[in-house]
Amino acid sequence: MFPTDARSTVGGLAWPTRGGQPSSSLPAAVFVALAAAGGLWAQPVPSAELGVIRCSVSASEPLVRIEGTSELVGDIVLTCHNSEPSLGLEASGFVELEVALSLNVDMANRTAFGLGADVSDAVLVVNENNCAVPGAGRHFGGCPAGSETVQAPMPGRRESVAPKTVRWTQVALPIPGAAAGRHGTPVEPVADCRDRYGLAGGCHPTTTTLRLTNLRANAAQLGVSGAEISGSVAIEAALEVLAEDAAVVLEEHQVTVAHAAPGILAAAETADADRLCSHGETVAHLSVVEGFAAAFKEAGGATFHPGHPGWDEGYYPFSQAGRGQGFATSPTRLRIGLTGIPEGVEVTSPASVICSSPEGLHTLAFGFVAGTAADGSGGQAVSWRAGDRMLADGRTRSAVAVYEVSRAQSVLKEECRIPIRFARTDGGSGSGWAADVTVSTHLVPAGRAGPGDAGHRFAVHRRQVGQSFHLHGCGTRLLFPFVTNRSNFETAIVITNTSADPLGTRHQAGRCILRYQGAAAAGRQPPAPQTTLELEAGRQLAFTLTSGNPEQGVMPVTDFQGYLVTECDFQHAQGFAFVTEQINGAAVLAQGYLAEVLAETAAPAQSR
Amino acid sequence: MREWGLSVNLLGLKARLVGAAAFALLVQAAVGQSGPTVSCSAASEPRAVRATGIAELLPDIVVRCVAERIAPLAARADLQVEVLLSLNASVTNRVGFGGDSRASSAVLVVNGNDCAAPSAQGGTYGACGAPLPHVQDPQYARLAGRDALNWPDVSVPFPGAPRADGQGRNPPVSTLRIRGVRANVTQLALSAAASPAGPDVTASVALRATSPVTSKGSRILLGRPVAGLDLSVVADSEDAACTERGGYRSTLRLREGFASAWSEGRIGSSRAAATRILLEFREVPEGIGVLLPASVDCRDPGFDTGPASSPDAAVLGLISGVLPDGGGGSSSSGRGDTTPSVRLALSGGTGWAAYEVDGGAPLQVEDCHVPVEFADPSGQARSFSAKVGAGLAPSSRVFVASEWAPTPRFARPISSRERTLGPASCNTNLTFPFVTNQAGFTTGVVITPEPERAGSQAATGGRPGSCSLHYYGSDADGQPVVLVQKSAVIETGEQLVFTLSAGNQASNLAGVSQFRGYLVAVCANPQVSGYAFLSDGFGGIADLAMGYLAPEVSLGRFGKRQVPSHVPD
Repeated sequence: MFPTDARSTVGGLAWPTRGGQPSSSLPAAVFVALAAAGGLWAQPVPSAELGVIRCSVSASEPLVRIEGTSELVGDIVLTCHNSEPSLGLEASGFVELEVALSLNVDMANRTAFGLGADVSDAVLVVNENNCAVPGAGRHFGGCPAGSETVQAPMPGRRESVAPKTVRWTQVALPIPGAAAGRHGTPVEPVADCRDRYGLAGGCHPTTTTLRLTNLRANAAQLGVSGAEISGSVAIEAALEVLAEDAAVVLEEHQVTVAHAAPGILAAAETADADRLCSHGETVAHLSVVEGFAAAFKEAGGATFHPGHPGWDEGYYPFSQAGRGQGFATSPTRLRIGLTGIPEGVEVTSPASVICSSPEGLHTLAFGFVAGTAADGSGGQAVSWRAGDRMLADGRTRSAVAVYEVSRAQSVLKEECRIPIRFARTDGGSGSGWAADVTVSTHLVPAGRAGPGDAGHRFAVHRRQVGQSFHLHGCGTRLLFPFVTNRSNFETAIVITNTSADPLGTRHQAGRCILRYQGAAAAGRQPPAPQTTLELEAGRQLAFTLTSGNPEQGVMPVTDFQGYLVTECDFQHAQGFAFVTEQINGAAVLAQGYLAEVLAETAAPAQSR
Repeated sequence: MREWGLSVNLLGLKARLVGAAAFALLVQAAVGQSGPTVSCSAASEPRAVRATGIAELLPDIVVRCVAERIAPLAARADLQVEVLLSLNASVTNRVGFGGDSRASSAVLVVNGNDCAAPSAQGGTYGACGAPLPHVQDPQYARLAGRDALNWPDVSVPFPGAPRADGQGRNPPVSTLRIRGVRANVTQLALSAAASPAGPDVTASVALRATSPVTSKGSRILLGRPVAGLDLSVVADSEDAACTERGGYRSTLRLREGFASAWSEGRIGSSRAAATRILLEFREVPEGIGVLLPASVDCRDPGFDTGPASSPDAAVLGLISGVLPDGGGGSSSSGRGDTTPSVRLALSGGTGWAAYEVDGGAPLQVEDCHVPVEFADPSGQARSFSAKVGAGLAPSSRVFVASEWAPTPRFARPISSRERTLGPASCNTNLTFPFVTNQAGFTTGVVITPEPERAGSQAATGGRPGSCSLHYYGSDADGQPVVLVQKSAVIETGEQLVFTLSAGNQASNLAGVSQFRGYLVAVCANPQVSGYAFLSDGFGGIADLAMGYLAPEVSLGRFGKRQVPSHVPD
């Protein structure tokens, strides 16, 4: 029953009191005895000798993007204590050892930042003695805390022959609980370590920690196709510690340092494709879903000192005891690629996309990046006031948009519908063809980071099957399988524009091209194609082969037998044929049929 | 204070003394030790947790501490430690207990000494009615970051040591039970997985003291994220139907993700509210109503089939006045009515409803079928289609510990997990591309409801309904004509037959004069066929004739007329 509103010190220990007096819940006699026995509380704690150093291994296991070629994985912490049997005094107070870390994928740490070609920015920190890395090797001093008794952070070295490995050599591991001297000075046993832990001339802490931090991995080597990955794949680390002059035992040799999962999923949603025919434009949406809560990152909060243990700090939402915000040195970018855009159609997307949510909260937003390189790097985010951006490349019938995250919530799995506007460049009544515009969406910049590259890069995953915007053709093709005006026969044709209906269909008007295919009279070519006058919604074009209908632009054909294909510039055309045999001007036989509506075939426009 | 992991010794630790006689022994024993003397390890029994849960209750964590050497003969001071719990997801407990904004509802219990009103600060004994006065009272946790909790100043009886009050020995194993921790599991959920299972919820426990440590069991598995709710639409061929009222009915299947997914609030010591299920409808066509039942009895003989299956036990009750997040509101007045009769409020084609789970068996995976009816009061030809999403409720965007956010609470389901109802239509649209009664021709039209299909469970064809006939064309002078007529109801087994010239008075259709054009028939019946017969009737005797079957016009997902198309291989 120790009230905790105040404390006093007895025998060098915090001791609960109430109102500055010893707790009244303690019997007075006890307190008196306690005070009198202060000498017993002050028994000295001698420094330890070197024994067997046992280290347990733990790691944080964040989710990382499986597309990423340089994903920051979790820190690995070795917690070491000094156990029996004692091997005697070690005059340096340290054990020198080598730490080797291997992942099941390639390490992706930077190397070209001025400390040597093989020196990486993966860092080993002893006893949380955190500061900027002073150099490539082992250094004492220079760090703000404990600089004389604990070495400064040390960068690991990468090996070209072992890309999965990074190695720290000549690490000075403080012997837990042992006497601590200044570097290079032999130490003497310390009679009493109390209040002198971590100080020169005192003792090392009774536990030593080694933190391996700022580790980057090429997660993409685990597989990059979002369609094929279900769940997550572990990134494992194997550790080796080698000490020539001491027994250092790892209690675990393998830990999981991250779980890799797809960072982005996308689905194409075609909205009202008919609007492209009736209004000359339509808007489709690309639904982008964050693979997991922290996959999309906004910029901010990062430091840029190579090898600094806090490099990219705040990357994980919950690292640094909750101080992280899920930021990155550079915001996450996504590239939207469109191919197979029909001729006569332009594509635009907005300069900024503020993603809606059912609650009306807009926690995710993207900004368009102009002037990027082919891999999605570089460029500059345009102002949200800039208006829609033209995407289409008229030569290749393709389009590209690169967006970067301008706002994201790191603890919420978010989604966004990015509008893609298709507009006809010929005013909306031309003869567009149907097309499946293929869309691919992936994180960028693409490729593997170079030795000196900061930030994150991503492998390009395979296009998700079936991701396309379907655009309807703005026309109808009708097949009249048999038409003739030979041997006393005659064929009447009716083409009906049924875009006027009670079903909410938008009215469309257009011309029709009549293509006759078949046998003309001996020595003649089949009739040339004819183009009719415009046919309004709800109206019909009627003619016979022999007479045509000059008022609607249809000329007669003579002595023809074959089939007729009509290509109309409006949807929902229907056809009717009426074949009669006429003798002396009177029809004696008749038969009719409905024209077959040819299914539109969606294919890339350039192939037509 | 430094962080030392899971094992502590007595060097430099505070002692709790109740008698002067014991004091000297205690101190002697304390300072005479070297190296670790008490080893602690943490463990848990992992359970399934709901992948969309923002404040999911995690299983208890038990830290067991034993003396590494033989139990001391002399009394020993309690170990004074700070316990730090770190999760790989944010802590989302209720906070603000005891007037302390950082005191959370997670509790640490020493040696089973529990009570209903733990201490907010710790360090109290016998203040809450806990059974062991010599062991500290249970203690609320304090937030130590978004993903961490700590309990400062925890007194742990030295395992196996004689008690300082001379009343026997401490148990050979001292236990620290951490209960009531809640976490935001959604952080670990994946979009790509078929089920949103992501990495497990894990924790590490550290004991802080000025002492050496050994660490055992540093990573503790607590929870395995599993979908708490699965939504599907029962296949149309099984139960979808056009209703007598001209609407369309389909069925949603709500399946509990695992046996206890809907049980929080009814089991153990949980004080959480009953589980709610939020249904959200989107893209409902304008003018179409959505009707839901006030109650859903999951024990449905129509679906609880199979010799090995036990009947479902849950009942879903509709909440009236529910907020968009699925919270608020009260029980619907029509509880017990399992027919879809409660009209959903729609705005811009979007509306939501919430059901509360009543009853249910904690060991039973419940499976509930919710009939949904689309109503078309206008009787117009429409395509019934909508998107529907389902999630546990209330939904929330409070992803951290909070003094006010509801418990439990959930993330909204992402749209990619929505399901589509339809498209379906209880109308048939026919076009007659060419009809005429000019130049001596006339056209006879026949519309025939199909008979009900043998073996079909759906009452599709053959039901009574009328047709609207829309004429588009021109008169004898070439002037445009647009005309609409509505027929009388075509009774089951009957046909609608008329000619353009004469109409059919019995069917409420008048003749049209000198018309040439096309005809669109919109019939309030899901299965009708049409036939046209053109004849040249000079002198009243037909000498030319032909006929054709009327093509049907189908409507797509957006209620738009579809275009025949195919995608090349």
